Amino acid sequence: MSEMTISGEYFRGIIKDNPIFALVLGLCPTLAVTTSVENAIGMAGAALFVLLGSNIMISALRKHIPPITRIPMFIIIICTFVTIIDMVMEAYTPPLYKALGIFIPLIVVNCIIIGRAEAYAIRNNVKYSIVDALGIGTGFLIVLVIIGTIRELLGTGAIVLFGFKLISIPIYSDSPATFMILPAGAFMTIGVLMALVNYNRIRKLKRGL
Amino acid sequence: MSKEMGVVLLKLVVLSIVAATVLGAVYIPTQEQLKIYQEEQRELALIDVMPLAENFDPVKSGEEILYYRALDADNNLVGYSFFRDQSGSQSVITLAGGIDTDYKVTGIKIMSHAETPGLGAKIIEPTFTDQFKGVAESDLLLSKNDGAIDAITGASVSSQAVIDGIQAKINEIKANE
Repeated sequence: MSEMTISGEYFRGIIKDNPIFALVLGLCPTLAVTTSVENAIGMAGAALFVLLGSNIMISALRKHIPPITRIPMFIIIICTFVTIIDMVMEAYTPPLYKALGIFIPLIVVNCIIIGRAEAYAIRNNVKYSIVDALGIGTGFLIVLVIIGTIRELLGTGAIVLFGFKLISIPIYSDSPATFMILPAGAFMTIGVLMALVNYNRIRKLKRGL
Repeated sequence: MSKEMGVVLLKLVVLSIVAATVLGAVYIPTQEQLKIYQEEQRELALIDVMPLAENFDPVKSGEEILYYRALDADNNLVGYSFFRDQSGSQSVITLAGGIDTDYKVTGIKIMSHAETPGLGAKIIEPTFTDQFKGVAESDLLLSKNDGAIDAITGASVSSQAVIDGIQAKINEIKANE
């Protein structure tokens, strides 16, 4: 990381440091909430908001955060943003809030957020911390939506987004593979995707890229 | 206490105060919005527990709404519906209920609760709540007391609380009508 560019930092969060496939952080909410595309977007949106808020605050205060109390201070900052998004979602999007349930408050202990605080925001300026949060947040969103799409489509035979039916597989949706929206489906989907990602990565390494 | 220590403490305190202020500022508008939403949910619940009714006419004591007289399209009384806060085993259970003019239950719905997950929390499940449909007041007991309601295994306190809540409201309506 000798030379940092804004676009470089942004795409690093999506590809090289993708929270799920490269850093392997935040798997618990990833497995739990990706039962539908809508939940996936809601979860990723909430996480992005918290990540952005905590990265901005922590990088802005980084010269004032004493090393010995940095973890408690991170937690206070992260908690504040999580509680804000928790209250806002409860008030304005109750069905989504119900669907995501305990996983909204649990963003407090989501390792993506505290991981970025510790590994990035505490060492970099506000501008790059914003870019980092957006990049990592986008990476999280893309992965959640991919997993959510696969699971919802195979598990229910259709994709319903904010009340609109986007896709429906005609005959299949009469008897879909329900286990795909259950936990087993989450593990299988993420396992297969992770294998594909790693296969690609190893192939690239062999070609010396 | 060293001076450094004091600075660290001060920083923690200041950060906490700022965080608390921000949260307070967000709390007020979101709570208002939440109230509006809960009001809508309550209106939907009234119709849910009393499907025959078209209109609900609140019966008040002072400012507080005791229950609603449920009226059909021709303004005939078809029953009563109500909300009740009843203390359960772990928490206050808020339920909506409807009864017809013979004091037979037309339906119940649990609005909110914080009972034990896996045990008392099952009071929201249709297998429990659907048992109440069509039950006369005299049968409004747990089956172990020769009533019509099967308690949830391991959660007789929560189950009894739901019954008590409905019974209390029926008594109140009887006293008023």
